[in-house]
Amino acid sequence: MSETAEPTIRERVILDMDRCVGCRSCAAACFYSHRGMPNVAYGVIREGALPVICRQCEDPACVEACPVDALRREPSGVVRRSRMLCIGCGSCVYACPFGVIHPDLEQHQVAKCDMCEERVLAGGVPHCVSTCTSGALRFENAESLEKNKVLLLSGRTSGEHAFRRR
Amino acid sequence: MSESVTGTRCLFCSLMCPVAFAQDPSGGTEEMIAHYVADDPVTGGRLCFRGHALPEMATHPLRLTNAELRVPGQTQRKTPVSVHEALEAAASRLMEAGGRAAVLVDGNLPTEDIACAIQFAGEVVKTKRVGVYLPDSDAAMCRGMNPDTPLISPAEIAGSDVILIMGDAFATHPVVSSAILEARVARKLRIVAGDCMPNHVAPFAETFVITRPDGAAALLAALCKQLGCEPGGNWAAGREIAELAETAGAAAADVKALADAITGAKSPAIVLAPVPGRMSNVSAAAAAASSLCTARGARLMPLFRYGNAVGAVAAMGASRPWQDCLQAVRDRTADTLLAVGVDILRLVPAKEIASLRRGLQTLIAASLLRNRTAAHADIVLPMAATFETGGTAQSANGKGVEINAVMPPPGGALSARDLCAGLASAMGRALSAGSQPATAASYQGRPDAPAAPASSPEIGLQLVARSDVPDFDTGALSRLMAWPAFAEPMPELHMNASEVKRRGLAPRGRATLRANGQEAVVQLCVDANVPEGMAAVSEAFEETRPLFRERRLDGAGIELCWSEADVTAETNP
Repeated sequence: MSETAEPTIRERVILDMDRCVGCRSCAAACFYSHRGMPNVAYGVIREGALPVICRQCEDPACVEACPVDALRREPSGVVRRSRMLCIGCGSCVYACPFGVIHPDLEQHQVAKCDMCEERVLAGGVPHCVSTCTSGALRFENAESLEKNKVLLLSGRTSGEHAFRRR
Repeated sequence: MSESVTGTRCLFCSLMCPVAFAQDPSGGTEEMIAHYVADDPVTGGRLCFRGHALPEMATHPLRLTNAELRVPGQTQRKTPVSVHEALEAAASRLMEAGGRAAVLVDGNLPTEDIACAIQFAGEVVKTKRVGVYLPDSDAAMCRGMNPDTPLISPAEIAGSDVILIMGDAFATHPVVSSAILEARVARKLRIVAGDCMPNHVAPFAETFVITRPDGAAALLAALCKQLGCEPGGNWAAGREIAELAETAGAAAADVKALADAITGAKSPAIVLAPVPGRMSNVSAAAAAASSLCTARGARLMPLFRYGNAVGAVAAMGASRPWQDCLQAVRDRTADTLLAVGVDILRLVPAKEIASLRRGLQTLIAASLLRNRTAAHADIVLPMAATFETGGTAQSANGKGVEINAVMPPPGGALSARDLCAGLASAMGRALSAGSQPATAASYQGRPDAPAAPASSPEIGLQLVARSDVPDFDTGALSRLMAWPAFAEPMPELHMNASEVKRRGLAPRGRATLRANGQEAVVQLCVDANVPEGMAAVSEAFEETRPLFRERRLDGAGIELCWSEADVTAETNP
């Protein structure tokens, strides 16, 4: 079931492709703050590997696909995976149109970005954004993106390549 | 968010980023995670992958908290003893050995700890075989730099209008990228760069010069000549710009493009970020960069792999290179080795360990983690991390940096200075209060003449080191820390698609890489950035480091260089 109410967290993690140096520090931050279950995937393109981070969809296909209801959209807007319920079947990996859920199992489970919900609700930003060494990852809402005239490469959802599908 | 404790500094590179430790917010364990120091003027709270790995050392499953003695007659079996007993046993062995003992100390400890270990070796053990381990590129860069070179700190780099980056600074020291890229957008900072293949800086550079892996020194020397100054060391005297450019593997037009960028700048800066096995002739490159800075009013930012590389060089004074200690063990002129904080057995090929170990009557390892040296040691002493003991380090521009202790060391773990004092006391001596040298000037300004470029490989590949791996120097930690091991569980060999196809290899398969008389099994990765005729693998794995050639420098250790390699499909899966 999708949640349509206005989420309390309206910001999303945005990658400035012109600024990412591909150092993978965001993945390290995610790894160490999520007990060894990194939720930052990488899309490898010609120039290097750029991070691909969950968009926390309004109508998430991964939630619909999960056979054991391990995934649900919280009132905050975060699509969360329950560690206790996840059976690691990988349905969400195939369902995600953006290829952001890492296909490999970590600790027999699928890793899923929780947008560092506790941190964000306490007024912070996700670990990956905090740590970004080049300032390429930003935590912004739709209004600020529009105000700053940011061109979002997010309309296309076809193709097989994880990065191109962003 | 849980409350953070006092901040310390990460010593995993010379930027020494501030980092605070915080309790894991999920609670229930004593695990700490890195917490950002947002108001820091240099980093703005940013941390690279190494900074995030720092707290892991406090509760690492391989962390040594007890002293151990080898069970007589057993190869690796040890019995736990008190630290006092282990110190007594180690002191007795060192006393017996005297001048036949060698002492090796890690160069990334606080400066006073390094000075104390050197003093202990000379005054108490009375041996001349004492060495400070430093990554090859750090030692070479420090040696080549002129002590009078104007330096620039990461906080000031954004004030430049043109920046020349030699090496893959955005991969090896990603935290510097923030200020540089900010200035690129806000102040139109121009970036020009060079490396042996397109790297992480290349997409942001308006001019990117591809050199040979051993060509950085020649390129900088050609640039010096183009701008009317002489590179340090006199090795380029009488050589024309075109000849130097050819030696570098670049075109004369490339040199002119770089020179034009620097000539038109009001406040140029040069960043030098060498990686062993990728950029050779580092001391000559550093000397040329120094000369360029002095002559053209530019400022230099050397990026070291060890946080306290400059402090270590200052403390080591007249100590011999660490390779001489190792050679003494190989020659059987030293039969007792005390390794303080350095995983020395990681630096030798696996097949050499048995013979090296047979030549040693006693191996004493003071170590943070249960690493390879600790596994083969007769006496193991637990060491404390710098963030548990505190101390002082020197930044790349020679300024003292205070490192706070943020937690007590576990069990009986000791700092290097307490360990040396304990050993001295057990030997019936006391360490006098040693004086620390204030600068590394006595070591600097002595570049080695660069080696003549080796001929291009005819049948093999040119194997260079990769710069974009979660690399902790020499692999001493790369395989032991959780994230690097997760990110790259086995060495990846990056090759161009056409090279992979030409050799009949499976693009994502495993392969056997042979070079320098050694071989290693690697994971193949297709990488369009790697030119044809070249392959790149990390040197931070114990099995891949011996694949690179070692160039012996006069009285100043070795330098890791590219080597000629061959790759075949894995024959023994």
